[in-house]
Amino acid sequence: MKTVKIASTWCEGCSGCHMSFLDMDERLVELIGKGLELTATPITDLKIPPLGTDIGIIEGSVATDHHEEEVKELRKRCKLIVALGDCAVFGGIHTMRNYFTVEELLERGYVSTESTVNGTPPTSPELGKLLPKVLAVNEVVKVDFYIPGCPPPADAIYHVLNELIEGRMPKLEGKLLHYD
Amino acid sequence: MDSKFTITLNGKEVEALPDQTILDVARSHGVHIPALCNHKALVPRGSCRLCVVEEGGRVRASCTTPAERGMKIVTDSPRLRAAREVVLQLIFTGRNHYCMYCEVSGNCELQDLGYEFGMDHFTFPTYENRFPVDNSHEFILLDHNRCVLCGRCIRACADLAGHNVLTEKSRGYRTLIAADLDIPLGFSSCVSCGSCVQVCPTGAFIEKRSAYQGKKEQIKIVRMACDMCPVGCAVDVHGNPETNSVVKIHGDWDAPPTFGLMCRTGRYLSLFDGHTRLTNAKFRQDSKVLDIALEGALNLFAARMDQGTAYVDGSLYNEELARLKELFPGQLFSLHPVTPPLPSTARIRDLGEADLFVLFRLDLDREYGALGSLVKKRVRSGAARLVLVDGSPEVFEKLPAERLSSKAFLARLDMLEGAAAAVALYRDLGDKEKEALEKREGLRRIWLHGETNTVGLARYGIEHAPVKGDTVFLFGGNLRESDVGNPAFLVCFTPYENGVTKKAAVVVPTLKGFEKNGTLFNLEGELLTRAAVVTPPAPLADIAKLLSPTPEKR
Repeated sequence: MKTVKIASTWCEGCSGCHMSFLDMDERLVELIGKGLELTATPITDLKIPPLGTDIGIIEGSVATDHHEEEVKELRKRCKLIVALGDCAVFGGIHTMRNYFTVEELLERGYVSTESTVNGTPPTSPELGKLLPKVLAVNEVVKVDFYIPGCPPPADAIYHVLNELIEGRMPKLEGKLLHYD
Repeated sequence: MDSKFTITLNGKEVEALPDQTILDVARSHGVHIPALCNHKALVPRGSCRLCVVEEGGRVRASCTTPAERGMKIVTDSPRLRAAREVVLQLIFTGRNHYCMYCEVSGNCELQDLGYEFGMDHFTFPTYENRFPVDNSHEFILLDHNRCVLCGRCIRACADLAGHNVLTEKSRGYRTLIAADLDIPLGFSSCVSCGSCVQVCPTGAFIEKRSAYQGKKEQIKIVRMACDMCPVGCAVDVHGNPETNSVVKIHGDWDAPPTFGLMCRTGRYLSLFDGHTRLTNAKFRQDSKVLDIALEGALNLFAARMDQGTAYVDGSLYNEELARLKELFPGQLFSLHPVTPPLPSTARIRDLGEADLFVLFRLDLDREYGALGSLVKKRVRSGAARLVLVDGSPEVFEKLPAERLSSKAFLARLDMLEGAAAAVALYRDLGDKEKEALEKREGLRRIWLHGETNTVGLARYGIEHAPVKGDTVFLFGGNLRESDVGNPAFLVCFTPYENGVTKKAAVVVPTLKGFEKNGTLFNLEGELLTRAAVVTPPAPLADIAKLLSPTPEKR
């Protein structure tokens, strides 16, 4: 049996889309039975997927240089990229900050918040640097399939993976396609 | 009169009527063409370009192109689909059309189009421009970030409602909806009729009161008549059974008397009930007021019923009046006058054909607002003149009008001569005015009485009489302290605390507005129906079934 290797990551997201992924429940076992193999995902806690992974799934928008790097790396290592959920597909709720500069944002978040006393924006070099604007994944790398929804229904994720495993082009229609 | 002709629609010969656009013809034959700026109650504008069709090799907007004999129309082709998809992408990415935190998600025409086209991502950069949010209005929030510039609100404000408040400013993608000469909506000449909100296809105009109070699938819509004034506009009441509340009220585009037009009172004030609701029956003993059971209060009332006189106001429905007539034969009167200074001779629809309006001491922007819209539209189009008798200067201040004192009007009655279809509107008339109008042949009249079901009172033969006697029973929602003196034993059936309930020996809480089924008559004498949308907050008296042998639980 041919295996279909998938990897996933979440960037600027809430993990809700991965919850939806797990919400496939026993259908996940069914997909594994059909050859699906999880490589590096937040669920398996492996970080770097092997080169030649078949499907890379990205949750969340691209908001920092770390996300940018991660997304580009995944693109390099995967044959197909699936943008999962509104943030990855459209930019999502984080794009609300696009109407402000990064300086305004950090000032509001870490200094002038009503509940903050003597606050300063964090400066640790380990943290990703905020990009000037939050981007949808397709503004950074080529995306092959989109599954919108906040979160996307487990049925939609199952439909896309099942179609891809069985060698067909997935198409989201009806209840499988929604934006909220 | 030009008659039917045929056009070819997707290779099939179909019938078309003169005055029909290509979109009209397609829809009348069940052929779907996507559209966004088009609205059935509004004049087409052709601004969204989603409804494009191919005609003679050209791509044209079907909503603004009149159907012509022999046209060959294609409504769906790869070329059209590509054109529509680009338009849809541009609309979605021009501003913030991110659905997740939008109030109208699930009830949005733009979102529906996204689903129809299977749009699963954006192909243009988004969130490039930030637009303002206008939160200045009492009832309406205008978020320009959600606006698609379809212009429905502007058309509804001007062409439908006659208010001409909304317009556009700036150009291109920077265009914004603006009020008056670009002042915040809340400080503009907006009269809060809410037509803009009702026609908005997206979440640009939302109602603060109804926002996030229930999604489309949670809402039950009940069609009825508004009971806030005697015009009786046909409305769709959106109730949420889960929260037992009325969420919002929309006008019904297809039904008389006002065909979707509404006013501030009907659309908004009926949801903001400022009165203090009564939920307990009360009994006054000396200076103490005791909460008592509803049964007990009704027993106290029943024991004294045949010793006194009953009075009602015009807020009661016909069924309630009928029941009270049975309970008080010959002893039932109206608190407020039921006979007009002069009876009406015109219908509301006649306002649309009038060439002269004479308004006596009325401000139709603040009362009977839907009729105000009919008058304003007619005057603004130049089809009718407007005479305001004893009106304050703010009344209809943007309209050309002759503003006369009563005396000046009586001296210039000849102005009525030139009019072919003059209509006078009044609530009360002075003796001289009455005499002048009565004699005028051909002058049509509409009496705008203060209470909703005054015509019902008259039809049930309930005459006006001042409150007299030692034992008095009052029924209604409009009770005023001045209605009643100090009778020795006063029983008051009302939904609200008011000046009268403070005097009453027994107070019985009753059902109100959205809790009652029933019928009433509007000022034209049309029978209107009301239906219960919410259940009452406590066991309350239903006057229509008062002391009836088999009381129904509600």
